[in-house]
Order: sequence, then C-alpha cells, then structure tokens
Amino acid sequence: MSVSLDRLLSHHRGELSDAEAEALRQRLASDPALRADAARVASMADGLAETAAPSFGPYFSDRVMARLRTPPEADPVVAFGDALRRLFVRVALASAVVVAGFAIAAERDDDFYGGSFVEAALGLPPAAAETFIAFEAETLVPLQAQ
Amino acid sequence: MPLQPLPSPISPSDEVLCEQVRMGNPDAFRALVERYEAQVAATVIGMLGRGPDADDVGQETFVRFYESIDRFRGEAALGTYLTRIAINQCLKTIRRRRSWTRRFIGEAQLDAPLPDPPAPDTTVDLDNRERDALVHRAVQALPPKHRAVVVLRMIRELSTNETAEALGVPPGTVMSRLSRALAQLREPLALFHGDLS
Repeated sequence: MSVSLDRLLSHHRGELSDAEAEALRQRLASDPALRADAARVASMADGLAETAAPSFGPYFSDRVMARLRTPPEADPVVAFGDALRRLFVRVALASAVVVAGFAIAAERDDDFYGGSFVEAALGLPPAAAETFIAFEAETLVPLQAQ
Repeated sequence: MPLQPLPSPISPSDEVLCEQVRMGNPDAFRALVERYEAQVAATVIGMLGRGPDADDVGQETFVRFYESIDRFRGEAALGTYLTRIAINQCLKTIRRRRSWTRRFIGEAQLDAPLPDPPAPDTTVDLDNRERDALVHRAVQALPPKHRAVVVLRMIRELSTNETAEALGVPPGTVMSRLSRALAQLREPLALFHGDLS
C-alpha cells in the first residue's frame, strides 16, 4: 500500500499517533524512494511555512474598524446598472402616463374619425379599408384627372 | 508551529468577546481582529499574494464575520470560521480577476504568470523577499482549490481534518489535492529540497 504525501507531511509534523508513526518509520527504513519523498515533503513544508505572512501591515485593525463605521462604497458597475434601471422605470412610467393622456383626450374628441383605441392612444389616423379608399379617392383621383 | 492567537491569562475568551460584540462593544471586536489577524493574513496573502486585493479581502473577512456574528454559535472554532470566510472571499476575488482578465486581456493570458506582488515590507531582507516572491509565483500557478489546500495545510500548518473542515470537503479530497499540488510545486520549489530531477 502506497503512503500518501499527506501522511508523510503528518508524520513530519508529529500529527500521527505513536502506532501510526512507528509503522511509517518501519516503512521508511526499508524504502529509499519513500525516504526521498518524505525528505522532499519535509523540506517543502518547512520552506512554505516560513513564508506565512504574519500580518496585513500596520493599522489593519484600525482599517477594519473604520470600514465598520462607514458604509461600503458601491461597486461602480453595479451602481451604474441600478441608476440605469431607475431611469428606465421613470421614463417608462412617464411614457405610460403620456400615452394614457393622449388616449383619453382622443376618445373624448367628438371629431376623432373612429379608429381603434391603440390608434387613438398613439394619435395615428385610422387604418381601416374604407378610410384608405376614401383617402385614395380624395388624393389620387384628382391627380389622375389632371 | 501553526499560527495561533497569542495566549494570555488576562485576555477574555473568544466566546466572551463575541458576546460583548453582540452587545455592541467595538473594543471587543477590535480585540478579535487583532487576535486573528495573523491567521487571516497568512491565509489571504498565501492565496492572493501581497497587495491591495489581499488587504481588502482581509478587511472584508472581518466585516462579514461582524455582520454574521449573531449566526455564529461556536459550532466551529472561530479560527476555522474566519478561515472559511477568508477562503471563500479569496476564491471570489480569484474568479473576479479571471473574469476581468478574460474580458479585457484575453483568454490566452489567463495562464500567464502573474507579476511579482509589491513587497512594501522593507524590514524583510532581500533573500527572504526573493524567496517569498518565488513561492508566491509557484503557489499562484496552482488551480485555486489546490492552492487553498497548500495554503492551509503547508503555510498555515493546519492538520488534514482542520483543512477539510475549513474548506468543507472530505479529508480524502484534501489528501488528493495536496498530492497533485505538491507534484506541481516540486520543480518550482526545488530550492527547498534541492531536487531538480
């Protein structure tokens, strides 16, 4: 059964039980390749542990406490998206109000020439076939007569 | 020796300080920050290297802990709880970096080595700074999840079970990730073991 590098590290750190450590020592005594692995793991572990940063630098706790006292700055990208969303909602609401106003005004206008509600709301001329024919008769026929 | 908060016969326990923080005592929270700064710094700087990102993630770790202190009931040791927050914040920062790099620099640059981190600590001698920079480059080249295992198991010197608890993975996963990470670190960290084979 092979010995994991994690187990070799545990042995180097003294994390194994006495029985486990003794069993591993016997394996190491009879296996030169395993001994080489163990030595390499031990030296890497010691070297890496020496690089542990002891702190973030001076006044770190002051910076944390100051951050707790002041609200965090918003992410500029998120803030821009939120502002855009708020603007869109306001413009959409204002547009809806204007369209509704036009629609009501058009519906109350007796002279309005009988289109649908949508046409009235948008202030468009009615697009029914009879009005199109009438339009043709008024505009095209005189042209042809010329 | 693993980084542990300095024991002091007159300093109150974590539980007492947490209770005082819940009652609104800012000095108690400052005491916790000072007690656990070394553990969080070793984790965050190990994951991200020195620089403004690391400092920001360090602060964010404690701010998040402060915001969630009502939910912290001591099921895990406070050091483990903070380590878990720190690792999650680091992984989020790494994802954001990768996303930024992909968007503005291009996919091809994702695996390019990172520049050396700034080393503002002039009290550390040059040899140590060079060694730290070399280790930083080698560790930064690891996939983030493997990097987390190396940082906790080898730099923080946590046990396999402590590492597994902090990362929320089974111990077997820690072992396999460590094995793969060490295989990848073998050549770049040859200065430690003198084996360039």
